[in-house]
Amino acid sequence: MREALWQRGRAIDSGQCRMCGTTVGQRHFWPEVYANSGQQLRRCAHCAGVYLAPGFTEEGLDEFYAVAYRRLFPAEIPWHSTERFFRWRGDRIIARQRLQLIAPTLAPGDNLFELGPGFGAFLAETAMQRPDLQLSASEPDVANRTALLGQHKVHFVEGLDTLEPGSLQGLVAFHTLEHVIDPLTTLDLAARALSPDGQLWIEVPDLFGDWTSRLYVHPAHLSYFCRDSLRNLAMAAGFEVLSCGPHPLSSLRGNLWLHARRPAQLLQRPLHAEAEQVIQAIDSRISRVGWGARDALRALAKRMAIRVLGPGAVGEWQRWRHRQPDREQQK
Amino acid sequence: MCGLIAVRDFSAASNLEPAVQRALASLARRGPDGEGLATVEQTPRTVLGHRRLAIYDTRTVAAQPMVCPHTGNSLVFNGAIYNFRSLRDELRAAGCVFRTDSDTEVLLHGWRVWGEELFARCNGMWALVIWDAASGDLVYCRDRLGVKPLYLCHDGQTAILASEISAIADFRGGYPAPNPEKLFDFLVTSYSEQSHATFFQGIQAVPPGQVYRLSRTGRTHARAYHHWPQPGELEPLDAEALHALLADAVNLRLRADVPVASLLSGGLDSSIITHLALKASDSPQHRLEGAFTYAYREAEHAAVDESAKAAAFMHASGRPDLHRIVRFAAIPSADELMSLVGVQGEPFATPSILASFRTYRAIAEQGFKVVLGGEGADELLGGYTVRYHPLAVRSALHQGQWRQAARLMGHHTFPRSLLLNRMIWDMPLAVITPLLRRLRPSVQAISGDLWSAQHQRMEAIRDNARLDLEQRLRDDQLSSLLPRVLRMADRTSMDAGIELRSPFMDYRLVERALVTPAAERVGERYSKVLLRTAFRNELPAAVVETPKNTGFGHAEQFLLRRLPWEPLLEDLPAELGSFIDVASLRRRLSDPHTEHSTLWQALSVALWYRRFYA
Repeated sequence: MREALWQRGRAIDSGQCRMCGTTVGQRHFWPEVYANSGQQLRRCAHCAGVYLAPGFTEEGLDEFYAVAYRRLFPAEIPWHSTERFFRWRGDRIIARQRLQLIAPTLAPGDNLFELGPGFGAFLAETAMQRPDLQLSASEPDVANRTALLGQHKVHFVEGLDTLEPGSLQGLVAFHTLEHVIDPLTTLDLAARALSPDGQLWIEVPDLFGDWTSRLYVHPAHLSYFCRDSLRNLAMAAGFEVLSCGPHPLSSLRGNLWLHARRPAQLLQRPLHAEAEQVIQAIDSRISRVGWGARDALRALAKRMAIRVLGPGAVGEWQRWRHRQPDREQQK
Repeated sequence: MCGLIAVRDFSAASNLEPAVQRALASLARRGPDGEGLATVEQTPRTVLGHRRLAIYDTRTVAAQPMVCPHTGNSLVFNGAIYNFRSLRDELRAAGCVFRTDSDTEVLLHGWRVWGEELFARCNGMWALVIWDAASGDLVYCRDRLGVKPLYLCHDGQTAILASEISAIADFRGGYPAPNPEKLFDFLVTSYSEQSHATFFQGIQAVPPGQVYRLSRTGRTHARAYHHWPQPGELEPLDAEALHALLADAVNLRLRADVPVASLLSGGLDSSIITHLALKASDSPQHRLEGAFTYAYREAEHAAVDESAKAAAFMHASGRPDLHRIVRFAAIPSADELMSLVGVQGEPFATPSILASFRTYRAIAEQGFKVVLGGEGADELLGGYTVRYHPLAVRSALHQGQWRQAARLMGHHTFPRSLLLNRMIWDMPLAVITPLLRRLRPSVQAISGDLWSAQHQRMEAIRDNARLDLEQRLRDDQLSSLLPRVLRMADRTSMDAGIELRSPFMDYRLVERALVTPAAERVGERYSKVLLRTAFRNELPAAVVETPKNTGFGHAEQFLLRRLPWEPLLEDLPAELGSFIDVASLRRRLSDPHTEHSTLWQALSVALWYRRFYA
């Protein structure tokens, strides 16, 4: 029997698309094999959403991140040197680069919110470079959220739904939307929290990036976006999309970058039907990713390495292998 | 008990009402007593439709869709809330005023006062849709076990909720393509309820135990209003508690404003239900007025005909005057078989349901509208010795408890070959898959195309087959066996305009049973040992001590080859070849050694395809 690394806390599978709720045209590709979670990769022929089904319950998602996440993803575990951990991850450098894209459009005194700031690198960088901004954030990982934030002042809240409507002028979500149970509701809440003309920046992995293994799909990423489906989601939440496409930073190649504005009149609507070519392109992209003996051996080797060496050492090796030269040069 | 449809359309399409009317017509047999339609005059356009089977307060004032005079909320509802009177008392105390004596109105007020907390207070079976005027949301919900059906088809433009798939098909103007995953699973395992997908692509059964909201902007939100407990969370059942809970469940279900009967097979479960109902009968609206037994005309089936046993039971109960025996020829005509196929709407696991299909029609002809039945007892309390006892032996062997395994085998409660059948699932897929393909008749009948496209599903099927006894009973109750039984029972009873009430499905009883060790429920020498113990002092030994070996439709289940399949397998659409090897099916059905076999599943798929796609 396959070794299931995590099968708890799954929601009921209603057969509906996670983004738009349709039942028609849900194509099933293959079972998730990173954790053998019992989830399945699916694509919606209506909104072009790609997602793992079933998702998690709220409690199940909390438990997943509290118990399984760092065990499943050893690259997230510091090993011996925290300084080396963050240097090889490149959090601060990336944060600086992101801020360069965002800061010029924010006025002094604006309220900027980060959804899921992780270790807090972006907030720290923003606090240093733009002390005039009011910073707030929501990050369930309380133990680690100040690791890179230091003593900078940030107001943490429970979630987007706790924010006063129209209280923000800017909202950023870097690699967060793919983790949440309901991306459209998240964007609805973002639109509600932003004031008219407030701005939204989203960064997510690009489904059309250069991934070649089914191990790319795992239960931490519940949704997978392409340019069209991400734009569709933002528009359904009422945003005016200013730009959406491949990331402008070369260091973040393989990701999507969306910049949107909240209009004065917020009009939520259902997700629109995507063009057939988009659906075909997604099907073709996913179908190209096979699963052979080599993949199975890779997965097995990783599991064995974690068992023998421990997750810390494996994570260190992964970080070293994936560290980027340009990040290193900018140290 | 009724049929409902609700449609929400996000496009700028034309008038929805004619299509909803058309769909309602297909639900007419579920609700012969009235029809209603309500259109919401807001965008997105929303229409609720209802066919009524009047059980509580049969006056037209209790008709549906029912509109709340305070809020404008509209409700369509299929089912029965057995504790609606106590809920009504609570709502009256909160200031609500009632115009009817119906559970529908209690739901409407309950929604206004308690919101989503309403459903956890209800004891009953239901599928309902509420248009919530304040939010504009379409709220839909099924009972904890999914006793009452509700299907969803949502294509991004139009969301359709309906009691039966036929209504969705009528609204859309045709049936969607077959779902190959579902067909494969059914042909391999005979189960089809392990996910909420149906045999039709894009049509899903709404998961039970959840409250769903479909907003005006197309957002869907779900929230569980109930969770089934794990061992340790509640006190396990003992015989006394089981007796008390079951007696109360029958008592609650006996109340109706129309005549109530019971199904009496002569076996343990139906005898207990009939016995408790007779004891509880105390007023015109709370009285058992008939007990129906299915029997065969032909002498050759005397061995499986339990009508004499049932008659003796009713005599001993002192009410032989209530007993009615309905006799039929075991073998149906081709028309009758296809009628059953049409009523079921999807392939079904056994032809034995022909018996209840016929019995409900006979009961309805005699003026009854409510029937108490024993559905769920076998799954909840471990009634299938041939299913559960080999698993107990396998578990003992897995744990190295050789003496325990030998002792269990010594009771001779199942054919030894069944143990081998269970043990095979411990082998690698590379062994299991070819063995199944070669030996199981329904798998042999799978077409090459379907096999190639879906055989990777064997891994999940194998994982499920490896569940131990404890897990098996829970899975049977919540995911596979019982949902299958409930689907078949709903269609056959509602086809006759009969509301089937199953006291064994009372959620309080189910919760306690789920935390009771499987071995205590099943027993070693007999099945359902806990249930037998609970009623040993009240029922005749002939009922309590007899092992389960028959039941409604026993003969039909074992006469596969004699069914009128030959003309029905002629002129089938060529496309069926994508799923079933029809030539192979014909050949195997002609084999004189074919009697009771999984080949029915393949035949059922072929007949279903003929009915819905030919």
